[in-house]
Amino acid sequence: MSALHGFPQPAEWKGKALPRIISRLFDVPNGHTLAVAKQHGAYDWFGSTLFDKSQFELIQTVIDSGLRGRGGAGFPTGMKWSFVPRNSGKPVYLVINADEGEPGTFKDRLCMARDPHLLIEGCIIAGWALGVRTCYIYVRGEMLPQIQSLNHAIKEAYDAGYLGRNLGGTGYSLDIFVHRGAGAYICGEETALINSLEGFKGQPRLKPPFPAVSGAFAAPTVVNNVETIMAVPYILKHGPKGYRAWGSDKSPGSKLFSVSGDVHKQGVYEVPLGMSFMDFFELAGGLKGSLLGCIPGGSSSPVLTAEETATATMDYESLASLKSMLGSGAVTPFNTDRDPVLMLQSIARFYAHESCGQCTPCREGTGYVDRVLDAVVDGHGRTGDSDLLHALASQYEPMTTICAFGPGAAWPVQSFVTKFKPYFDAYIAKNPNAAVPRQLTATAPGAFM
Amino acid sequence: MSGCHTNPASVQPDGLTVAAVAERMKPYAAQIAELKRRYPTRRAVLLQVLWLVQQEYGWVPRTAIKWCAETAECAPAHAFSVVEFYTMYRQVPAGRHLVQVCQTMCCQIHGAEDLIAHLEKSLGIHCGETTADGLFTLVRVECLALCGTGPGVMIDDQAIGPEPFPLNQPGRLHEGWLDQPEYHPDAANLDRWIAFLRQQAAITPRPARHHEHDALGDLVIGTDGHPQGQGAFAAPLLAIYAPPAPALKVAAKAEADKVTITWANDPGCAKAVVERSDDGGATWRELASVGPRDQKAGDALAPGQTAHYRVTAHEKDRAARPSAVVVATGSAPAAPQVTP
Repeated sequence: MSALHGFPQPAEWKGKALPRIISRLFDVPNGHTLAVAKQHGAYDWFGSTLFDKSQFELIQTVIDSGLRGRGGAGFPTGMKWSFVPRNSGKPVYLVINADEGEPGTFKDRLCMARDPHLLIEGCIIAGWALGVRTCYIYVRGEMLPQIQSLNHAIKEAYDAGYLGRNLGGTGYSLDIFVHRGAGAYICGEETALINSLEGFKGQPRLKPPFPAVSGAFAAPTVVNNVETIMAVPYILKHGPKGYRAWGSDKSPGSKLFSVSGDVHKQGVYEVPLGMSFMDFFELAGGLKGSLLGCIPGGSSSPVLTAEETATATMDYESLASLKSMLGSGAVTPFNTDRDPVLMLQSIARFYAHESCGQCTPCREGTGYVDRVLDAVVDGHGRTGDSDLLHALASQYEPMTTICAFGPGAAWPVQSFVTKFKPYFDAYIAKNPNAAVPRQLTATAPGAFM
Repeated sequence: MSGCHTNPASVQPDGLTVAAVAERMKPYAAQIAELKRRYPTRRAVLLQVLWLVQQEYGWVPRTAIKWCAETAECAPAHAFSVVEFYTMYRQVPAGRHLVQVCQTMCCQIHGAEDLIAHLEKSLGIHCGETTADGLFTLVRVECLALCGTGPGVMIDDQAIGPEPFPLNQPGRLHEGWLDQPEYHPDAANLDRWIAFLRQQAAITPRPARHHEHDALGDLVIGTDGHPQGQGAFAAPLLAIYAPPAPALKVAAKAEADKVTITWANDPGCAKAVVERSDDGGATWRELASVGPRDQKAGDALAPGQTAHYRVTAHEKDRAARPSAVVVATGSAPAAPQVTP
């Protein structure tokens, strides 16, 4: 094993230039300090470039750029901003979602460590567009170095007059506060994150009302991912056209992809959307062994088989057509040495552990699936267990639970048992009593017995 | 509270009072005052105050939960439910160093189970237990976002994993020890690291304050806070904090003796005021005030007569910059459209 690769990444790949929109300072020594960041153009828009623009012009610019949320759901950012009611008499909050926890994703960790000033720049611009007085950055509890990095950068920005009162003499004031989370995957869901920010358990809220109308402290709130906000300064400087120069027509721009798994150079790469997976694996040093499948967007996205991976491109539409999703851009290819059953077991255990316990289908269902998988792996599988897993997962599909955690936990189960059924059957065949039906108990459903 | 099987009720210190906790937490007064400034509600400081307690004690005793509830002005039962919900608050004391190993998908395919088995053997404990000398607690955790260099391992607040981190000032954490490849979290290197920590522990006594690093990551102190925060200096939210509405895009079309002025409203526009100038834009008089739905206004214009028009969008209590001026000249029928 070797250190994290990715940066410096080549200037072009397969005849196409690679963007450096978000990763501009990732390989610059001391790029996290204000002095170095300013040498590379940080805050050069601070002044009339931003303050002459009105709210609607800015929001329209972001809508025109086609920027979509990079945290997982892929909702158009400009549209999200346009939902915020103005002059409602309540303050508007901007909350940055840095609660990165999707298995396979580690891009925000790098963003906040290497270029915290770009995030602050994005917060100021988004703050101006939305009329925000107070911005919170909710950082995952495990990422203490990133919190330090952000706090030091925020201190520098305060001292330099980029944050605080009366920015640029316009009368506009903005404060950014970092809030440390305490270890809950579900807090990456925007309403759970808001609850956690308010000092509650991180359990999602029913929508509507949507956060844009009533979010943090019952006021209009925009929750955006770190990477989304970090793309905003580029859009302001280069305009929607400059941003649309990257990526495809329907999925413009660039995206950070965290690749972990069976490639030679795991790491974070910034590539234009629409690159094919196979080209991307070559950029990441090439595949190890022969590809068995690939998880294209974090553990909650449905897995792709090797054939599907060969045809897929890295954008929202291509993956949607394969009934999967781009998610947070966590690409995990795995080769024929890996056991899909064990992979699914660890995914199922993750979701059983992280379910917030609010909705019964998800709380009970994830545990049930976890126990059935444990039984299968331990040699107590029963004929029809893969059908049982599929049926169980469909109990917490979309529209059965408050948030998207349930579907995110169901999709990997359904896709793994469908696409890698022979592997499950091989495990089940190890049980001499496989034909005996699984006994149903009320106390720990699915536990072997 | 993952990976620990001790009953928290059995480890609560005898005679610990809320007053004693308050006394011990006095050095954090500046941080707590800053936190209270930052949020419009007092409950919102709860998670952060719990972090400070954990920094001081290394875990969260039940009595300290009561003190946190007092500080955050919420019910102790609520504070307790929060401690129970989040995995990073420890309800039982841990060893001097907490070793967390990720067991989720990406780390699992890179051999997390082997690494955990190795650590259990070399430390002589099972996951969730503390070594007899009180130095190490080993726990399994779910995804640490260290997937790129799995298996992910964290010792205390340090992630052993992804990359060299460019922060080399004293007192700052490193984003992993991979500055040198010998620090990669494979079995041999972890053994070496554990041996190093043992050596350090032999020569330095366990510090009174559990964590050497600020649990809130060098909290910025002295900000204005939230306008409704306790003791905040921040000015309340004024209309001026919302940036001005944009100028409208206006077109005028002259036909025979009348002219039609049209524009596209922006979403925040409550009314649009149309103005006319007959002296080339020196003086303006209001022609019409139009609601948000009708995006046009008409005016009479004799053939050959020229007039200037502009439209200003108004929101509830503020106006946008006026639109660019459009010029219309009354003419014979079917005159061409004039745009700005």
